Amino acid sequence: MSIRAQIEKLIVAGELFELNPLNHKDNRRRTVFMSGEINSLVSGPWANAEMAGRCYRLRAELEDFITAEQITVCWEPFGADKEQIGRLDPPEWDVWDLRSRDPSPGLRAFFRFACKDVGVFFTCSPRSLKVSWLDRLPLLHRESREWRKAIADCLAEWKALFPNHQSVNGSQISDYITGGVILR
Amino acid sequence: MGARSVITSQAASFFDELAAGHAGTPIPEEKLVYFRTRSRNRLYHFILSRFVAEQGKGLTKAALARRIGKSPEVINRWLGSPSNLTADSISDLLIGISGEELAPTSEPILNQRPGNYRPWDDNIKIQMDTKPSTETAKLRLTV
Repeated sequence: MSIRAQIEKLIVAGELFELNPLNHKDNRRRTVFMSGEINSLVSGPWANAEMAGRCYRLRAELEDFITAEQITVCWEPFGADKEQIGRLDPPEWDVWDLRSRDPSPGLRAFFRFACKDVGVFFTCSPRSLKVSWLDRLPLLHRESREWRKAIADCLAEWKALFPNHQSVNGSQISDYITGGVILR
Repeated sequence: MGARSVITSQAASFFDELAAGHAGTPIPEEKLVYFRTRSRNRLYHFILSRFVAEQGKGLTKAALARRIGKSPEVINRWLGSPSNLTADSISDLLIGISGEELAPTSEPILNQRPGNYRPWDDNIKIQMDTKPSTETAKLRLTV
């Protein structure tokens, strides 16, 4: 079974969800699939307006991954400045994060590429402070146990859903994403 | 997460307040946040596309920083992600990058024709067109 057929199967089973931009007119350049955890965050229901606002902002960032012509990429782990997505350490694990920075604490959504331009998003963690409506600890500094756990969790969720498939493993940004930009 | 069901983002009801017109109920803050983020992202990508185009002609962040009298760290911050831009920084960047100024326009959100293109469908079509294997033949039946 191809990885595309596996994704379709997981969607039918309710284990993966496709993110569709709320504005149906948006041009789509990439595809986002989400775990139930991420889908709950971006689709609600939410406990209060503060949570709803933060999750709508995360949703807009994920929709931007779908629609933006160009996405800034941190290609070398630990070299992050302000890029929108980044490849995490160790790079050979091919775990990435999408950074939703504003307002503080920022959120990091962890994902892998199922195919070029197809991100499968699994988990979401706060960057610096505990968030009452997220069951995950803040990631804190880059060598922290929480960072390692978040990356391992993403990998474990991939293996649970795609036991017979590898994620994209490339040697250059264009192997993963169209319109990936490294700012020099 | 155990959240009580008080707010949802079902697409069908998402635009209700906008559709109600000027006499409608207040637009909830979280929806304002969503559209703020979209607008900010659009402005950011506009600036980024200009920078990438000029990067191809030799512009660097360091050169841009010198040109508009900012530190490289500030340029990094402005160009790195959408959340760091203001009207003033957008103006400085556009002038420094391409000698342009912003000429805003907008478009209605309601009553737009949906975009038909879905890359996921295209990927499957390409796979079927280029790899007529047994596996993709099965895919044709199931997707």
